[in-house]
This record gives sequence, C-alpha cells and structure tokens, in this order.
Amino acid sequence: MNVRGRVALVTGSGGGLGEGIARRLAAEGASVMINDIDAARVEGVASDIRAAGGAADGLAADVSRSEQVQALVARTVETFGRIDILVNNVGIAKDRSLFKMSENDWDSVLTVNLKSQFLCSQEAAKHMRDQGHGRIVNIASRAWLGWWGQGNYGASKGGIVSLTRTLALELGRYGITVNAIAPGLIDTPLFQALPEETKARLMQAQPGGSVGKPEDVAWAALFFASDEAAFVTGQLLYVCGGKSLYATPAV
Amino acid sequence: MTLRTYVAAVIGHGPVATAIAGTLGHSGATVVRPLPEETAEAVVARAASVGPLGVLVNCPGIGSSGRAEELTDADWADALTAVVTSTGLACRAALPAMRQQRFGRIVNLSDRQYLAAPGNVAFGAAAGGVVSLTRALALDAIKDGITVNCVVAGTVDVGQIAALTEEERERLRKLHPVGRLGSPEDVANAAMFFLSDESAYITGQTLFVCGGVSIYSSLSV
Repeated sequence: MNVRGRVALVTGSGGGLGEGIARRLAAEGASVMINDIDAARVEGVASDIRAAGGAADGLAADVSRSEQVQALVARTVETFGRIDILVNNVGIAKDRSLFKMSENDWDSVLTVNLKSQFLCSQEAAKHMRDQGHGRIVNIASRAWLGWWGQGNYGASKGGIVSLTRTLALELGRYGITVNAIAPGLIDTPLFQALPEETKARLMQAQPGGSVGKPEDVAWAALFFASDEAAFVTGQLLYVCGGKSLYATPAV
Repeated sequence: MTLRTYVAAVIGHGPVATAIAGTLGHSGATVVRPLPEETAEAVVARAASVGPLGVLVNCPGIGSSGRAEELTDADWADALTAVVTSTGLACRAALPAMRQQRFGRIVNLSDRQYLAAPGNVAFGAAAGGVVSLTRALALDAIKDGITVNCVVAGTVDVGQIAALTEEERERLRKLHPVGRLGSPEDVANAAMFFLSDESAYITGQTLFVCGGVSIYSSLSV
C-alpha cells in the first residue's frame, strides 16, 4: 500500500487513533502534518515521528473554525509543497440521553465532529483538485448505527457517512477519492479510562471477544490513502471485529 | 503489508482471479490455482496438501442469465451452483485447517449486480448470496482467528466490457464518478488489503471496488 512521497494532514493526531494513523503514514514514507487543539501534544507526536526518521510538522488548530483550517492547510502546503491525503479524524463525545442533552452538548459534538470534516475537505480539496490527485479518509464510527445516549455523536457520525458519499461523487472527476472508516471497539485512551467491568462487558459483546488496536484502524486508513485504492470511493468500511454484522442498517 | 508464509488457494479462471494470484505470488505466497474441470473443493484439498492453507480467494464467474420468466430450472440451478454453492463448499473445505492453525483469510468476490440486476436475476441473486454467506461465515469463524470478507467488483474493463464499442465504453466511463472503468488490479488491490495479516480486526465486511457507482444505490453501506 504505497504512500511514499505523499503529503498527509491528519486532524486530531495529537493522540489516540489519529496519532496511530499519522505514525503509520509516516512509517510508510509519507510526510505528515500533525494537528490537535493542544500544542504540546502536536509537538510531542511530530518530534517523535522525526526522531524515528520520518518527516513531520505540526500545528495546533481548532479545525471547526474556518480561518484556522485555512491556516492549517496553508501551512501543510508551505512546508511540504502539496497535500495528497487528508484524514478527517478529530472527534469528541458528550453522551447524554435525550432529556438530559443540552443544546451545547449537541452543537459542540456536531461542530467538532462533522463541521470540521466539511471545512477541512473543502480547503484541502482545492489543492487536490489542482494536483489531479487526492485521498480523503473520514473517520466515522459504528455508533452511527445508533446507540443509547449518543443522539449527538451518532448523528455526527451518520452525517460523516452521508458527506463521504456526496464528496465522492463531486470529487471523483479530479482524481480524488473519499472514503470513510467506521471503527468499532478500539483500545484508545478513552476505552482505557472505562471501569474494568464496563470494559469486560464491551469485550464480551464482541463477536471475537477482543478489542481492536489503533493500528487496526491505521491499516485501513493506509489502504484508502494508498495509490492502490484509486478505484475505491464513496465507501464505508467497518473496522470492528465483526460487530457491525449485528446491526447493519436495513436500507 | 504483511502476508504469512501460508499456501493460498485462488479459485476462478477469470482475469481478476489471475490478477489476485499474481499479486499473491509476488508477495511470496505459494499459490495454488484450479486445473481445468477441477471443483473448488478439490482445489482447496490439493492446496492443503501442499502446506498450511492460510488464504482462500473465491472468484466465481458471475455471468448473465436473463429475465426471471425466461429462465429454465437449469439456468437457475447453474447460476446458484457456480456462484454460491461453489464458494460455500470451498469455504467449508478450507475451514478445518484454518481453525486448527487458528489463522485464516478468506475473500469472496461478488459483483455489483447484487444490488439489482435487471435482466440478470439469477446471477444477481447468486451475487447477493455470496455477501450473505460471507457475513454468516465471518461470525462463525472469528474466534479461530479467521476473517471472511467480500470484495464487490464494479465494471472491470475485460471480457464483454472490453469488447464493447468505444462509444459504449465512453458512456460507461461517464457513469463512473471516478471517470474510468476498473481493472483487475484494482480489485486485486482490495483483496490483498483483506488478505493481509494486518486486517485481523476486519471481518464480515463488503467493500465495493466500483469507482463510486455503488453510491447511486442505497445498499452500499
């Protein structure tokens, strides 16, 4: 899966899944732009990648704000000369049942998770269109299928699935593919922070009884970002240990 | 990507099967291909006798049948046998060895016609059967380290498609959001993704390799 010499921007890559994706792309020879809202995390990951012999730069930015997105994409192009791969990864969760969910819970999750993907895709795709090549990989979630307390999170992830399909149609003619990944249960800091009994219950509900690793998601992101996936666009791939088989939409 | 040093059985005679076998061979796998007239099950048995069978790829020939009322009993049976039954029996034959070694990668090829195949109901239904078979087998096999996934090919520029007039081919290209038809290598690349060691947490999935045409249908998720 070739990304050698490509330039990749990974949003929310100061930790967790995004960091795993950025590290994998860098290990395969792509130059990566690290982004997070936290400058210390950005510098930590970028310097780690450089220390391992990879090419990385970083910029702290809130990717739900258009002027900061413009600055982030501009910095990527200034530093590395182009932008071939955008991984829209950043995401937050504020789970509440309907009657307890505040307007702010709704707005902040939709803004960070979904609006950021619109803004970053729009800005990066301008360069990709001019280059005649691009790969946009959107991180959705199996949660788009619906789950208690995730009205806001699930809707943001479902929005990502829809956005992916429309952008794939609009951008295909420019050599840009747009695909989405729906991770299931993954061993991220968020999972680690759960009580032991919750973790055990979640793992028991997995068809294979195990939890995935950030590397599993990074591998799928690498595939969609690669030269080899040129004919794959508008698709949603679950990286979930088979859990999606219990609940695929009855469309 | 990493591939274990297992034997790979690649069932099917078409250009996609040939491309997958070639890519697997370049990646260092020992590839076993069907002899003329050999059943899928027999190929699997022969592959398992060569060494530990880690990879099975089924590329059934998804042809054209006709409208429902035009089909004979034999047309129906032939389409289902060639596509669903042969794929299912090959999987059945491969699973014991894979379970014992607690590792296996199965990829079944289907066709975009499963979403709706006007004028080709028998093969359309058979293609859908491969998707259902893949999902059920994935759940049956995951605890033994075996993944089962489906690659759904769109319009591949070989055979009857390659034989069309340039005007017809241009019309087809325009239907594709990416502006071109697929190649056997496009499909092989997706199969290789699922066959990698690194796809351990991905099972039961259906990936369309179709240049975005599946987006016009609701079932591509």
